[in-house]
Amino acid sequence: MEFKRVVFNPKNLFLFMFVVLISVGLYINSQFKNEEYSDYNVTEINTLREQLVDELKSYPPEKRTEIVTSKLTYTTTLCDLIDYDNLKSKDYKAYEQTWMESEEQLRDENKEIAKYYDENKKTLDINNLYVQQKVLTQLSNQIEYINGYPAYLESIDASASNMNNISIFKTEDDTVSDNIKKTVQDYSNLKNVELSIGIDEPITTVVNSELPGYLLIIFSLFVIFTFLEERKQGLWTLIYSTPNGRLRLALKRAGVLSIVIAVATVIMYICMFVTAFVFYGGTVDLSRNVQSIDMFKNFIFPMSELQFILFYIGIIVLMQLTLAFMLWFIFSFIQNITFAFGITGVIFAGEFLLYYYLPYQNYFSLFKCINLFNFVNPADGIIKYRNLETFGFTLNMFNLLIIGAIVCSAAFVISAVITLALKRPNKTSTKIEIQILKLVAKVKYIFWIIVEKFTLIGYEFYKILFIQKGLIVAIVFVFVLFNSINTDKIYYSATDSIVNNFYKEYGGKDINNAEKYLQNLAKEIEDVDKEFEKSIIDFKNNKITSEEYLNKKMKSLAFESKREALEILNERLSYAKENNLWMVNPLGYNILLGEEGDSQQTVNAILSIFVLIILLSGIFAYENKSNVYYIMKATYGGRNYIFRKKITVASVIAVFLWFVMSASDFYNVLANYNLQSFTAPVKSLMFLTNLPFETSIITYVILVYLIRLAMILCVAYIICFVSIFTKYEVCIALLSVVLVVPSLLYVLGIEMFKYLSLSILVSASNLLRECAGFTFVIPIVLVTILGVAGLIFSNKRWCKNGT
Amino acid sequence: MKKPLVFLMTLIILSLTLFGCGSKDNNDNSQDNNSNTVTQTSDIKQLSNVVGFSKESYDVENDYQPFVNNTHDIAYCNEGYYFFEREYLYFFDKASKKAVPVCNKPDCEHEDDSCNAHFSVDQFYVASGVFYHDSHIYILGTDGEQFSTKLYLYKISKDGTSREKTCYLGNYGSNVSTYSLEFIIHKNNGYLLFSDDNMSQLKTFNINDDKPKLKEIDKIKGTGANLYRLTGFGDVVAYQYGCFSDESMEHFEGGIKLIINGKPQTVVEGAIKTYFITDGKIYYETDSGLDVLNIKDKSTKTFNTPDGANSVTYDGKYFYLYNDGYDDYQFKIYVYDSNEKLIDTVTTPKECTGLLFGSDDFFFADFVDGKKGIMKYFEKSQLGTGKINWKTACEKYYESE
Repeated sequence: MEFKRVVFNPKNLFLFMFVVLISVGLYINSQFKNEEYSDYNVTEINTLREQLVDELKSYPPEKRTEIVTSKLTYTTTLCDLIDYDNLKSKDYKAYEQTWMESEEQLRDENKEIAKYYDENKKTLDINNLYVQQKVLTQLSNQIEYINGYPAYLESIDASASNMNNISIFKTEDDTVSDNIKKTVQDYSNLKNVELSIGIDEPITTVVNSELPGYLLIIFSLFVIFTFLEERKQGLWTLIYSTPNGRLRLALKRAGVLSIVIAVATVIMYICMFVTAFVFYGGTVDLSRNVQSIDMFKNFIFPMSELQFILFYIGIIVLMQLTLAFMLWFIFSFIQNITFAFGITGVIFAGEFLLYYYLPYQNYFSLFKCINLFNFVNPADGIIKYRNLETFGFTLNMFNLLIIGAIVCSAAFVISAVITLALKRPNKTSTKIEIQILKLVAKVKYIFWIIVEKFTLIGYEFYKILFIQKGLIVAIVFVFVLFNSINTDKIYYSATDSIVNNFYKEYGGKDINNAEKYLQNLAKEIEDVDKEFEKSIIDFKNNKITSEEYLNKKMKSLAFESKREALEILNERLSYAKENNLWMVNPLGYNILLGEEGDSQQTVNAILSIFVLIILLSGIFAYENKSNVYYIMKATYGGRNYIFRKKITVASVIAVFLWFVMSASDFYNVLANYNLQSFTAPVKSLMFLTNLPFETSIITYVILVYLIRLAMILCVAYIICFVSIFTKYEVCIALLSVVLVVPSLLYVLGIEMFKYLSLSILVSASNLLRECAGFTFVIPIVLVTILGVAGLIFSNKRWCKNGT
Repeated sequence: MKKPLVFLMTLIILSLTLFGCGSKDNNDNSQDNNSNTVTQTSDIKQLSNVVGFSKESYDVENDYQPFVNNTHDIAYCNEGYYFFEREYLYFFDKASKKAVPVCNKPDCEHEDDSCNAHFSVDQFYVASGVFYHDSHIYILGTDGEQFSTKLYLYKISKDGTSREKTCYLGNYGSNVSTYSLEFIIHKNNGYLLFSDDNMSQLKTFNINDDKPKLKEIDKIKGTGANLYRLTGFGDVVAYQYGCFSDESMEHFEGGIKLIINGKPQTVVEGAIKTYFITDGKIYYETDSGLDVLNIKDKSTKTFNTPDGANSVTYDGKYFYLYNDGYDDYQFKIYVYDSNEKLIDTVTTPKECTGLLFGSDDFFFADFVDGKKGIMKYFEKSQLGTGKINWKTACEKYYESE
C-alpha cells in the first residue's frame, strides 16, 4: 500500500521523469558546448573518431603508433600550411618577420606534403582537415598512454623500491611504510591487464557529470515529503495510534525508500550511459578493460567497461541511499520544516567547507573522504587511488568511501526508524523545554505588541519569523556573514606604503601635481643610480674610500622600494593621462568591485538566496497547507489586499538580506582601507576599464548595489510565485535545485553552470566587469522579466475567482 | 679605567646628536656618527656567557640552522636535506645520496596538487624559506583563498603525508605573495621581520600557539631603515640593522644586534656585510676584512681574508669565506678549519647561480645547464684532498622552449 502510494504518486512520477530529462538534456547540451571542441563540429568529430578507431583496430597493436603518427604528421603539416597562408593574407609583414622561416623549414622537412598542398589547396576540405588533426591527436595520445601503461606499472614497483631506501619513508622501526606496501600490492592486480584503443568519451563524460547526483537528492526529498503528508493533513496522531502505524510502518517506509531510490538511480544512470553511447558510439568497446581509458589509470580493479558501468551504478545507488536516509532522518526528527531545511543547509555548508578546503594531507582528511559531496559525486573516490594516513592508520580512500557509506546508511536508517517508531505527534515538554517555551512566548508577546500596529503586515512577519522559525535562520545568516569579516591590521610593505602615501597626497583629479612628483621621484632615483655607478668606477680607481662606496651602495639599495613604487605609479599615471582620468588608489575598491572580492561576494549571494528561499517559501504556501486559503479568499481583504501585504513583506525581507550583505561588504572594506575620490570617473580604476559606459565611482557603486537589490527582489518574487503553486517543502526543494545548486556547481569549478548561476547576478560586480559591452543587461532583464512575471501570475493565481 | 669611561661618555654625547633613524629600542645606548668605524658597544660586557653556534651544542630538532644560505633554501635534518624545486618539496637522502619528492605514493607522477610534495605558490610562501624543527618541516603560507592577505605557519610531517595550518600571523600587504619578509624558527620561537609603512619591525611568537600573540622586539624607521639577516646561533638570535643618520642619506649606519632575554642588544656597530656567531666569537665582514671579536676577553683581531671574499659562514667544522659570484657566475670558496688555517680553495664550476651550503657532511649549490637547472653537491670529506667531485643531486627545472 505504502509502496503504491509513493511510487504511483503522479507528482513523484512526473518529477522523476522531469529530472531524468533535465539530466539527459543538460548532458547533451554540455557535450555540444564542450570547450575542448569549441571550434569544431562535435558530430563530425564523433563520426571520424569511430571510423579511425575501427580502421586502427584492423592493424596489429605494434603498427598503430606508426600509422597514427604518419597520418598526424600529414594532417598537421597541411593544417600548418593553411595557417601560414592565413597569416600571410592577414599581415604579410608580420608573417615575414616571424613565421616565414618556420614555414620554409616545414616545407623542407615535408617536401611531398608541401607539394601536394600547393597543387590541391583550392580543393582541400579545410574544416575536415582540422577535425582530422583533432581526432588523430587524441588517438595518438591514447595509443601513447596504452603503450606506456606497462612501463607505468613497472615504475610503481621501481618507485616503491626506491622509496624503501629513503629514510623519511620508513617507519620508526625502520620497516617499509604501510602505504608503499599497500600501493604495490593493490597495483599488482593490474599486471596482466590488456589494454586496447577505443572510444573513451561515453564513460568519461558520464562519470564526470555531477548534476544527476544532485537531482536525485531532490527526488529523494520529494519521496520523503510523501511520507510526511500525514503530518500536514493532521493524520499523524491517528496513524500513530494504530498497531502498524509506528515501527512496522517505519520499516516498510525504509524498504520503500530503498527500492524507489535504487530503481530511480539505476534508471537515471542507464539513461545517461545509453545517451552517451548513442552520442559517441563505442558500444563495441564495452568488453575492453576500463584501464584502457587514461582517466582510469589508477583504478585498481581489473574489469571491462560494461562491468565498470554496473559497478559504478551500484556504488551510486549506495551513495544515494545514504543521502536519502540522512534526509529522511532529519525530516523525521525535526518536525518544523523550516528548521529541518535550515539544519540540512547548515550540514551541507559544513560538509562543503570540509570537502573544498581540507587538503588530503590534513589530519582530519577522513572527513573530506566521508563527506556528503563525495557521496553525491563519488567519481574521484572510485577512480583515483589514494591511501589516507590518518589517526595512525593507512586507509584506502575507496574502501573508506564504501564503508563510510554503509555505516552512515545503516546509522541513518536505524535512527530514522527508531525516531518514527518512538516520536510522538504530541508530547509533554520537559522542564527545560517549558522554560524555553516561556521565554519564546515572552519574545513573541513583545514582538506582537510592536508589530500589531502594522496589522496584516505585522502578522505576516509573525508567521514567517516565529511560526515558521525564520528568525533563527535570519540570525544565523547575519552571524555567518559578519563572522567572515577580518578586521585585523594590515601590514604594508615599503613599496605599498609609498604607493598609498602617494595617493593620499597626490591622488585625485589634478594629475599634474602627481606627474610632477613622479618626475621628481624618477629624477631622484636616476641621480642616486648615477651616483652609485660613478662610485663603482671611483672606488675601482681609488678615488673614494670603501666606506664612501658602501654608503652609495646602501643608498642605491634603499631606493629599491621607490623604484618599484615608481614603476607601478607610472603605469597608472600613463593610463590616467591617456584616458583623461583621475589617479585613484584601487586598494579597497578592488575588494568592493573587483576580482579580489568576487569569491566572498559569490558565497554571500548563494547564502542569501538560500536563506530567502527558506524564509519566503511559506509566504503563500502556508495558507494552502493550513487550508485557510479559501476562507481568506472569501473575506473582504482576502485577495488583492492581502496579496499586496504579502508582497510587501517579501520585499522587506529581500531588502533586509540585501542590506545585511551590502553592510558586510562595506564594513569589510572600510574597516581595512581608506576609499577616496568617490566622484572620480569609474574607469580611473584600471580593472573597470572595459565598462561600456562612463560614470563616477560613487554612481557605479550605487548602480551595482541597486542591481543587486533588483535581482534579490526578483528572486523573492519568483519564490512567491512558486510558493503559490506548490506546497511549502516542495517549494524549498525545487527552488534550491533551480536557484542554488547551479551556483554551487559553478563554485566547484563546473564552468557550464556559469550561465545558470543566479549568484553571479545577485553579486553583480563580476557580471558588469566580465561581460562584453552592454551584454550584462541581458541576464538582468531576463531575471527582471521573470520576477515581474512571477508577481503578475502570482497575483492572478491568488486573486482568481472560483477554486 | 679612564679610557672606557671616556669612550662611553663620547658615545652618549654623540647619541644625542643622532637624527634620521627612529629606533624605539631603549637598550640601544651606543651610537657612533662615524659610520666608517666598526665599534663594539658597551653592551658587549653582558655577553660573556653567550653561547653561539657550535657543533657540540647544536640541537638539530630545536635550533635554527645558520650554516645554510641566508634565504633558507635548504633545511637540514639528521637523515638529509629538504629543499623546494618550483612547487615541489624534495628530500636529499644522505644514506642513498638521492633526491626525491617528499611524496610516499609510488603511483604518483608528481604533476598536480594531489601529490603530497606539491605546495602551490599561490598558497605557500616558498620564497621565505623552508625550516626543519622538532621533526617537522615549517613553511609560511596563506589560507588558500585567492588574493589572501592572511599569513599562517604550516607544519608538515617529515614524509609529507600530513600538513596543518598552525599559527595565524596576521594580514600582510594587499596580497601576501608580493610581500617581502624574513622568518626563522629558533628554540620553539618564531621570529618575523617585516616592514609596515616605512618601518622595519621584528616580532616573536610561540610556534606552539594557534593564535599566538606577536611580541615586538625591535623596530626602526626611516628611508632605507632596515632590520635584516635574521639568524639564530646557539643561545642567541641575531640580526643586522641599517639606517641613514641624515636625511640626505649620506651616512649609512649599521650593526649587529643580539636578542638576549627578549631584548635587543647592539654588540657591534658599523658597516657590516655578513656575520657569524660561534661559541664565544663573533665573526663579521667589513670592507677592511673579516674581524673576529672574542666575546669573553673583548679582543678583536682581523682575519686575513683573500681578495674578493666578502661573505662568511661556518658549519661547525669549517669556515667558508666566499665572493658573491654575481659577475661571472663562478664562486670562489676559501675553506678554513676551526684554527683558522686555510685547508682548501674550491672554485665552483661555471654557471653556478647560488651557494646553498649545508652541514658538515655535504655542500650544495645551484647551477644552470643550458635550459636546465641542476642542484649539485660534493661531500665535505673531500675538502683538503684537492679533489672536489661535484655530483648531481637533482635536476631542478626546465625553462620552457
